Amino acid sequence: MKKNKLKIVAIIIFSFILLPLGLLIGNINIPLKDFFTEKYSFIIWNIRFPRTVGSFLGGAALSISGLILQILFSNPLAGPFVLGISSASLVGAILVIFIFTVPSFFTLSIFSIIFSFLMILVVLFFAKRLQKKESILIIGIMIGYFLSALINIIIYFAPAKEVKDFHIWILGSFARLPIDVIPFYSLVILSLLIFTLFLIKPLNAFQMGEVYANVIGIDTSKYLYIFVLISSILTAIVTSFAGPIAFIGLASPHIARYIFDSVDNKIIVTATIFIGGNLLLLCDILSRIILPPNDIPVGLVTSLLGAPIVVLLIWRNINK
Amino acid sequence: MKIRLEDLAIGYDKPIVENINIEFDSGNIYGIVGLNGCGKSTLLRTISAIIPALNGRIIIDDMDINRLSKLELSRKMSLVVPEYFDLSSFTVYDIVAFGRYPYKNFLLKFNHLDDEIINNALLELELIDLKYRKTANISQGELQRTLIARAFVQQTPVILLDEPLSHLDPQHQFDIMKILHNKAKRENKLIIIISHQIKFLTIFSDFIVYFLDNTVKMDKIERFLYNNLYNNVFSLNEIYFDRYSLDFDIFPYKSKKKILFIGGDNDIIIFFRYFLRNGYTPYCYNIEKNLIYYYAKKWNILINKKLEEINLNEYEYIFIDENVKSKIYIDESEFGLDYKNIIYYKNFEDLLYIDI
Repeated sequence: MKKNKLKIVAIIIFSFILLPLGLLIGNINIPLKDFFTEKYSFIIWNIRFPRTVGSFLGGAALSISGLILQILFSNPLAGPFVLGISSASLVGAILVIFIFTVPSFFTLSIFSIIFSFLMILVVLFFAKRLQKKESILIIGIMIGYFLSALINIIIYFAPAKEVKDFHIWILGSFARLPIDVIPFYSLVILSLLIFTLFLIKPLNAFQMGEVYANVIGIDTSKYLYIFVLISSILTAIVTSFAGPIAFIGLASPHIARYIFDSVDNKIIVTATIFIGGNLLLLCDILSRIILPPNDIPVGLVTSLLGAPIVVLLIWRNINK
Repeated sequence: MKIRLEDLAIGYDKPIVENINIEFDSGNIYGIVGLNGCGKSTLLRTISAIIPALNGRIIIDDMDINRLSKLELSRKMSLVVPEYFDLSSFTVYDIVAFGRYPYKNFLLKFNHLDDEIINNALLELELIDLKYRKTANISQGELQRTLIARAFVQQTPVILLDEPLSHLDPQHQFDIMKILHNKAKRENKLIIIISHQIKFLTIFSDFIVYFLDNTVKMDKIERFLYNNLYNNVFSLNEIYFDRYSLDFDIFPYKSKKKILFIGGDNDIIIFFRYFLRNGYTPYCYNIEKNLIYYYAKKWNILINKKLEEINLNEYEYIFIDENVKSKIYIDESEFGLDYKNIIYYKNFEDLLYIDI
């Protein structure tokens, strides 16, 4: 128990080191002594700040979404994208790219949000009707496939320029996140993350299976609904502004469980928030400096880094 | 605490059993018996409001359970179901601690009292040494006891258990039943148990709840045994339930093929089932008393005849103890020409090598 507390503190301290680094590191080298001067303030606060906050909160949001869905479906492979939310947001994005040819970031995001929320309504409709989590999982994945096919049909008939625009969107990046959306973006994510901290009891109970959760006083059908809602909104908000970011949501809960060796979500939820945030911010910082002067999409880095990490964890777990 | 089932119909989409009218009272153990798939588990899950009743009402202390919240219900009733979920990453303590959830708010702060309750349950079920062991590394029986300990720390007046004795060895089955019995009598709890272990139900439960003729009935366990209802409830065929020994055996005399033992001793009872499963019904001839016995729980007298008067042709095999060979006379010409199945044996060891 004491050891776990120390580990949590270590991870939080790591965040406090990483967040300023997110403001410091980038294409343009900012000397430390000039950090608070007027000279670089535009780069720091209008370009790097939204990106740093966006990726940190985005990582936390996707990771909590993944954690909730992994617990809900009692499936270690569940991630933020199993409910088809991100596919829906991509459909929104590609339609916008098609209609407006040169869409502004705002129209793109707004359409993505609208489509994600339509999808959330669909998922909730099934969640309420079916009351059976396995069916929700299958329906989410199937709708995801269906929408992907839809996207591919649009791409098939699209001119090359639109296809490239869309492809850049699909790779996922926080570089395009404008400062104006940060208040809204942060407010939604932070309030949902705090709300999740109040749901530790039902989250723990779900880990013992629905029957036992019921027996110990948890209204599972109510919480099924709440969990699906929270994780969909968290996924929708991130994918609508940054595009789909692979692996973070799937990997962070596993990393948290590996580091803390606990089933108590009091620890795991907190750990997942900070591990997810740190991991995505780290990937974002890496994406700025890996191939200078290019700023590659963070979605590429997460996949490149995330897949080996998960494999490594599973490998170490087996040989433990 | 009383639980009353009024015109209850249970099932998932369409009713399995209807018109259940039963009342359970605290301080008693109720055993539920019935065929596989007859609705025992469904009944237990309906009572604990995990699945809705299709018709009728469940009244717990004059309150319809539908009017109780999940939390209120969790302070009245606890349920133990067979392990159906992957719990391997939990420690024994983790699982047992879940039982305290009905008394905790969202902060889940466990205090000294909770730890004491949990420790007591772990001691009661002999799990204290396994407290921090992952359930992946304990036996099925230990896991079963862990799940029961979880129900105990929930401190509910009603405890429902679905097959709590499965995976347990006889001594542990007895221990669990004894602990449950003490819970019911000393702490005045209402305990309902589904089990196929009729022996332990008979020893420890007060009432038996049985599924028969599309409804559920309840009776004192003694009357249930006296009326031989067990055979009806399970529509036993080829085997039968003996109400005195509380055990099952194969129905003999289904087979027309007979075997006769002459002389010998009771050790051949050990081979009784060997002959039955190979399609023969064994009889035993006692030369001193001139009696033919058959075996059903004990040796029973069948006929009183001298050996000479018995038609030996009826028997496919005749086993003769070499020790009594000199005392009897068997006219082998009495048998058909091709009849060669007279086998002599000296002792138990010889019988082990019989191959028919």
